[in-house]
Amino acid sequence: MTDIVTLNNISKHFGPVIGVDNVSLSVRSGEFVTLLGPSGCGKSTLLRMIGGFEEPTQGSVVINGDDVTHLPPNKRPVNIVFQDYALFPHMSVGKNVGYGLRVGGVRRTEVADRARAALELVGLGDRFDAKPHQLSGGQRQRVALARAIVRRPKVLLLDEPLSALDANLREAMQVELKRLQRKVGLTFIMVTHDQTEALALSDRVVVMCDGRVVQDGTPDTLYDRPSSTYVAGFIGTTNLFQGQVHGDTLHALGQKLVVPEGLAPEGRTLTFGFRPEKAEILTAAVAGNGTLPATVTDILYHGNSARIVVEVSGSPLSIDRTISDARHASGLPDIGDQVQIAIQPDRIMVLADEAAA
Amino acid sequence: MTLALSKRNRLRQFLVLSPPLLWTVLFMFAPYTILVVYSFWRAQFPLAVPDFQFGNYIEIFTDPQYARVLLRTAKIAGLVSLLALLLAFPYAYFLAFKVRKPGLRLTLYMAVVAPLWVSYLLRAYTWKTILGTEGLLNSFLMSTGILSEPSSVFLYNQTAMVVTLTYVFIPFMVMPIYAALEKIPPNLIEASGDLGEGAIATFARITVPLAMPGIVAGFTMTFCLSFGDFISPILVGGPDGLMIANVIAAQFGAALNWPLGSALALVMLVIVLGIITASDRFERLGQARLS
Ligand SMILES: Nc1ncnc2c1ncn2[C@@H]1O[C@H](COP(=O)(O)OP(=O)(O)OP(=O)(O)O)[C@@H](O)[C@H]1O
Ligand SMILES: [Mg+2]
Repeated sequence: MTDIVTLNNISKHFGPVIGVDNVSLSVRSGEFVTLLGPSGCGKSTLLRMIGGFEEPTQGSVVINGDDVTHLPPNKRPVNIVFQDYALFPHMSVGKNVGYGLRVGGVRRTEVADRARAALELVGLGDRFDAKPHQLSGGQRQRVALARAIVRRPKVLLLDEPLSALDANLREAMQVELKRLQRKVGLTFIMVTHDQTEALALSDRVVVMCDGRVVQDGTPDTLYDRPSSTYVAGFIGTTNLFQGQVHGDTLHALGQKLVVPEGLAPEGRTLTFGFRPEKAEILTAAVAGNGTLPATVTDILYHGNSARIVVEVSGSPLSIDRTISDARHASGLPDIGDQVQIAIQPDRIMVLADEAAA
Repeated sequence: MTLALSKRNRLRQFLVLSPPLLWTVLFMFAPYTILVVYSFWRAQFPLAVPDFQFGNYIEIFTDPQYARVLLRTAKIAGLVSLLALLLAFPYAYFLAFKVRKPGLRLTLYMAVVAPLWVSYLLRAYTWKTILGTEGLLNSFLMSTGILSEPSSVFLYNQTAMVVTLTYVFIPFMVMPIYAALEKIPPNLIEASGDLGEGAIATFARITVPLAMPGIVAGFTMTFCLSFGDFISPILVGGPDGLMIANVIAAQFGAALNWPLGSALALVMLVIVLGIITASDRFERLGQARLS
């Protein structure tokens, strides 16, 4: 597979403010890449530099083998879907979608045909003559998508495309977005600050912080092997604690845990962690090698699962348990119960501490 | 109980509203009514005799001199509006899209709008001093050697009137156009570029259509204000520069023909109201397309 977009050490400074700080990134053709990070970390700025709306202070942007660093948006083979859709209010839906086709010198009748086909692709074939203000938020979103893909760009850029929708619609649109990407086979680069959205849709997630890339990997790598406490904290919930490894024993939480040999350098104090669903709650009677004695302090019931908060040597840990029984909440411990918890040894993660790295 | 309350409320409403209502009736509707009544009377120099006849209107529509004045007035008002548009649009565009600093933008905006606080007469008079034989333009041209002696061609003609009226009424063009341009979301411009259009096509396909309500409003205001003006013809206009308002003023003054003056005033009123209604329709059509 070839790289369709390559960013070489690009930075963007807004006066004293550093929006993007020395980022390098390659996106392969057909890939669905997500830029994920908290507000103000530079995701939009990075995306806008690919689209041509911001000129990098340093570095270069290569799209489809051409250096486009200093080209305006209308000279780049990419299209963007704006967060608030940016539909032209004085044009019908069909005219909006066909807007970019007139530029290519396409004939009027063909413009209409292709616009209609693109609208059908997003399920709005019958709204060709409607005005944007007559559509719902989700429909406007789809018009914006149709308008961007109708020009068959090499890359489709999406800046928080679903953030203006309510939760139910957002989930439906996620499915549709993924289906659309598979159908048209385009390269998607999407910005989001919603980690579930990033994990659900992407082939690859790029986690950003303060204008830099902190980790770049597949969703399961990011989830199972976050490189830092920052990433672990940003994606899902993680129980974090300090500890030292000696052989196959991890000294942490005032206890001894069993870990695979060679998990971390011998004797160094590092941050370790595990995901809430990677541990089990056992009755106090079955204490064994590597289990930790704990006290249940809180139970949060979620319907198909429950989060049980326990305390081990004064530190709170969260543990998820799925509930498959018909009777809800059956088999859950009670608050105040003494229990044993068993963490799956191969699910304990080592996190490079920012200080150590 | 509720009835009494609503009655009291209505009474209070009436008390609050009655002074402005009275004022409007007394000073707006009454004069117009008098004007309408007068327009059917007969003139018997130097008196106006009560009557009900259409002689004044017939005179206006048959005597070609009135049509000529009306056409000239419309021509001057049209030229003023066009010139003001050509100057105001680039200025407002520059303010809305090119000036980044809010402070500078406000300063430049106020530079155009602030003269509205200065007396109209004073502003029109300024151009007399600029264009006159002793004026700035002449002294400039003489000091640069282009002219050897002061010229009087700049003042007392229709060009001088158009220049003066444009200067006087241009704020009414800048304000609505700037307001319309400022409302255009920047990402619509970006989206047009993203979809392959260059700056000129984006301007024609996005910026101008979205600014149209402001352009129409500005054009209407400038046109109607110039159409009814009678000061600048007196100050800087020549013998061929009389506008309809001057003719009307003359009927109430030296000519002492109030009935004809009233009829002329009503004809002018109908024309202006017609223009305002048409522009309002047009704008509402645009609003329906936009909203
Ligand atoms: N035009 C600009 N002028 C000045 N500073 C800017 C500009 N655009 C962005 N910035 C700054 O650059 C940084 C990154 O902004 P950016 O919009 O890329 O963040 P983001 O990750 O997209 O955040 P969000 O999730 O809130 O959209 C921020 O500190 C922001 O204040
Ligand atoms: Mg953003």
